[in-house]
Amino acid sequence: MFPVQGNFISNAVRQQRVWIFPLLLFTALRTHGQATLSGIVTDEKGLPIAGASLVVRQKLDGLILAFALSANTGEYSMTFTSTTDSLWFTVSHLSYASQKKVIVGQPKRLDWVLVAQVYKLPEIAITQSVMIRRGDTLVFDVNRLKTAQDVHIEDVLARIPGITVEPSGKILYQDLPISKFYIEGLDMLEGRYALATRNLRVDVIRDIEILERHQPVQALDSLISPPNAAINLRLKSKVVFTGEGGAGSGLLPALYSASGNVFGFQKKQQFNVLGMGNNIGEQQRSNFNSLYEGVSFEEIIVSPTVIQPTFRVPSINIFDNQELTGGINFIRKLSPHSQLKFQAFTASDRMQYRGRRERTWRDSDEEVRFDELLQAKEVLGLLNAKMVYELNKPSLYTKASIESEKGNTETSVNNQINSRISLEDFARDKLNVHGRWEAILRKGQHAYRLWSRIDYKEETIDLEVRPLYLVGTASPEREFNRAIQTVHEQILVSDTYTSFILRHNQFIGNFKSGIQMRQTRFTSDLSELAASGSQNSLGPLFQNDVTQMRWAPYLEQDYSWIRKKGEWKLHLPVAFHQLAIEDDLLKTNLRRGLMVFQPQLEYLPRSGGFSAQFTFSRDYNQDQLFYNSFLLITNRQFNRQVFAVNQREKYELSLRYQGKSNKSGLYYNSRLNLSATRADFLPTTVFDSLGQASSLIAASNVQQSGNWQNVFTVTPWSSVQIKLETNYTMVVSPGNLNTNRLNIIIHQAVAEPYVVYSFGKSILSCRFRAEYYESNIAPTPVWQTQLRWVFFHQFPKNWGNINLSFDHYRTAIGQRIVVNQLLNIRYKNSIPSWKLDISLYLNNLTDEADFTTFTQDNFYEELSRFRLRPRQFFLKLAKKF
Amino acid sequence: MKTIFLAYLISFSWILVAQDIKVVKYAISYDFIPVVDTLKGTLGGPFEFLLLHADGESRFHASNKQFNDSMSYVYILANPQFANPKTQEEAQEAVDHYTTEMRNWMKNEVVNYLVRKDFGAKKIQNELTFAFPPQHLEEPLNFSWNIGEKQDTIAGLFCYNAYTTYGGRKYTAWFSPDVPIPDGPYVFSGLPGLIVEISDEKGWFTFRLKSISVSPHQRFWDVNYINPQSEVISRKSYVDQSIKQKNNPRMPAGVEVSEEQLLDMKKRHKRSYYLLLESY
Repeated sequence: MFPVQGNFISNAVRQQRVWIFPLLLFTALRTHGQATLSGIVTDEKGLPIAGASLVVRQKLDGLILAFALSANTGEYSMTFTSTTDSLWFTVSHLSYASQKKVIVGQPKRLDWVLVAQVYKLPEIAITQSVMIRRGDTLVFDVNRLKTAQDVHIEDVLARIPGITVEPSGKILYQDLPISKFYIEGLDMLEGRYALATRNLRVDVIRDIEILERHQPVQALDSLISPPNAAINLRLKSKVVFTGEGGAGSGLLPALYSASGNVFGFQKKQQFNVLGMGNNIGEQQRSNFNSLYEGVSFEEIIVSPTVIQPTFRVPSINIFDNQELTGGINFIRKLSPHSQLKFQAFTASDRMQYRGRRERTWRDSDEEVRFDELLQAKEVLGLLNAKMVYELNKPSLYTKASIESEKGNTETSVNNQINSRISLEDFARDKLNVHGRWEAILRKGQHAYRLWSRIDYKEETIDLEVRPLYLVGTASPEREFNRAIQTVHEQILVSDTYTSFILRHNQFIGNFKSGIQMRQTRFTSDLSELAASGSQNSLGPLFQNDVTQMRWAPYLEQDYSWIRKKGEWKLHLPVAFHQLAIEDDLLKTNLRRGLMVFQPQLEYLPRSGGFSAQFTFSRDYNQDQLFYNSFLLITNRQFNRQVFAVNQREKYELSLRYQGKSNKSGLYYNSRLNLSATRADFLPTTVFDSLGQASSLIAASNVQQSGNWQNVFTVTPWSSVQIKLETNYTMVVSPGNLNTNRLNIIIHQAVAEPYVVYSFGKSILSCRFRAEYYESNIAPTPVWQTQLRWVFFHQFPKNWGNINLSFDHYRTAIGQRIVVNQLLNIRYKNSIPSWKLDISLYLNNLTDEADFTTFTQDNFYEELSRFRLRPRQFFLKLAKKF
Repeated sequence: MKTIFLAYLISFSWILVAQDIKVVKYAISYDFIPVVDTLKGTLGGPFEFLLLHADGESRFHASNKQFNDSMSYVYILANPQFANPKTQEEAQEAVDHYTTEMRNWMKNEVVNYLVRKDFGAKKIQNELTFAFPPQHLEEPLNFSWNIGEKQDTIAGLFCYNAYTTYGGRKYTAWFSPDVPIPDGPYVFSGLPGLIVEISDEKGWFTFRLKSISVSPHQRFWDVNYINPQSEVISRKSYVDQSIKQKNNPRMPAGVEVSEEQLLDMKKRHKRSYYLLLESY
């Protein structure tokens, strides 16, 4: 029996243990975490101070764990729970100097002796100002800045004085692009910040900080002070999960749009997932472009004959699309100084381009007109992924990234050229891989940098045309029913440099030396396609197989001399380029060594005023593709390069004056650029009734240009803002058309006043743009005007808001006048209790068929009509969470 | 008319004897945004209020009242001949003169509260502004606050949020430890920093910081801010009278008005939800 009893006892004890152990653990945890602190607050004479605020935090700027106010006797007591070993205690009083202490452990008593002091308000705006300045940081209070119509943070950013948000989403501060876009100090989006500015809701943002002259690399802090600013968004809470999902549909034709995004912000990591699809003309994939880098238009060697839409009209009136886009961004802080980022996105689209183009080529003897009915369908796919590791310590900085992008485009063209059918099939596959690595070591006032990149690009293009005319190609004029040109290009670029930065008082030197390698393999072949499908090459006149190799060691020296009112900068780059070009078909080669240099002297004022820049460069077109034979760059247009280096010398003077008056709200910026360029080769063009061809001829020539830009912004009354932009350009350049040497003089002037008037709950803005173009070889000058009215009204009593935009475009070429009009209306309302946004779009209400534009090139003028989307009604619902 | 005259005379005499100037430690103005239509959620105002602090005591009332009282004080200094009327004719003349002068600059005190916080005695006195004879609510100055995890910048000040319940409502406050004043609008105080904004959970009543002055300076200071003859009433009485005043307004006892004026007053008070700030 005993064992049984024993078992019973042991079971009971075991059962008790089951309960007692967690209880003990819980009690132990409570005992360990909770503490009571008391003490007394007195002045220097030992008299008690009443009403002093005592606060305990885990970090100086962290959350408040507990607080107390001292009693009339000066005594206080507070109980708090802590999980860390050290705590920050602060005591403050209006009549005494504040005190802060960091205490390790959990003290039970803490007495304070405060020193009398006349309290001064911190540097804050106490009269409802939206902005305060803390050193080089401007802090904008989003609560005060936002208005009823603001949905995303871009809407608020665009209204901050000094900030310009370009249509691409790129943000400029005082005319310079921002260098970083942080959210709570982390740059998750790595240049793709339009994803945040256009999707992140304004009501989760507390402050917008503009960090002027921001140096993102800690190892270069106090050594190099860049002119660019950065933006940091401060959130209302340290942990935020926010997002929105929306869907909409409409008519004429059946329209759809759906989008969803989630942002998560935590102390150590942030993420963002987006997905979008629409056929209402929105090009969401452009938000994935990195805006840190300059706009680089992808140079496509061969392209189909497609009418291009104008950038002046909103995309919802132009693009006939079926876009699907999705992406993910993630950043994790691995340690206080290191982080890992991952970004990926994919996009697919089906586009239709329709329109009509009248292009007239003219020289002194003849005039050729192409009347083109253009219709194309394009299908594209894109996949991009990027990984970045960054270590940013005061003594060491390193960053490694790898990015890969795969894309393909297929275009089917069904055109009529001068009433004759012209068909094309275009296919392009590309693969880009970019690798970057950078390390900076800081020692005192010296820093050493090692930077390296490898870029690989592969591209295959097939262009099938039906029919093909050989024109201006040094070959007898011939016609083929069906022909195909196949192009293949591979480029490998590597660049590695080391640099050394030193600072001595106000003098900064940056020395950079490295070596660049660029290898290009380019092949093309134009063939006749027989009915059976077999290809017969048109011969060496239309075949290329060229390998280019360039080794370029270089040395760059940058000197900065910082003065009280501004900074002098001297940039001295010099490089030696060793070129080796082999034509494997013609068995010829070119080997040449060239010195390339581009010294530049610049003065930059610290805050507005006069700045100047002078540049001299001796260079050549480094991205030039060398090939000997003809290449069909687009249907009815052949091109041939020379197997020689086109060297250029350029002198450029840039003067700028910038100023502002905070009192009167006046801002002005004037810039004058003068340049003269001498080149070894001159572009020459021939045309006939079937097409055109261009090539280079060896003829020394000089091109001169002058450009004067002005921006003037003034706020004469609080309700009215006026902005005026003017731009005048004059270009004098030589040309060669149908063997005639020409001297072309072009004058182009643009004036763009913009007035915004706000009254009551309405805003009325008017933007007028007048453009004048005159060329000595064109028969008549061209006047183009654009008038854009936008009216916004916020209805009372939660009835939402309406946005009405009316565009009027007018082009006058001599006596000929073309007018376009566009009317778009958007109504928007929110139901705060459901966190729901409702938008109704009425686009192209007047049902305009085409948008007409006029362009003039050196030798031709072109009137094109791009088919607009028809009148459309669209309803969209978006739910925030 | 005689009763109106009597009321004027009483208030005028009061002005003559109870005015003073005091150096205040801080003067803070707030915008008060009350609801005027609870169904549609329409907000009224803003009405500017003033928080003054001197000698361990804070006072909170409409800026217009401060302006009117200080101008009255200036009037008395400028017109000592009317200070001690001996006959009814002299009193009538003094009142007529005062009324004529006041008409030029008197500001509207439609929305007003009178709150006195005594930090030494730890009590709040809240006057029933429309009551005659005067009555007030007296409660201990002892708020229980819970600090939240949210942070925000309001009026350029870095703020934390905190929650409390008072007078039947739940409130969310935003306070700034950067301004070491443990005070705030209306009855609210006791946070380790100035209350920059506070509103009830329905969003019916919001006080929002407008400006701060922390350098000691002179301000008009009514010695008898809460009338010494004022009777202390219960919260229930305070709230019931407030509801009654909103729904069925009456002039103070002894002051007669026409039915037409009363109807107009009733119409205006339909939107006077500010009278319902206090609840059970």
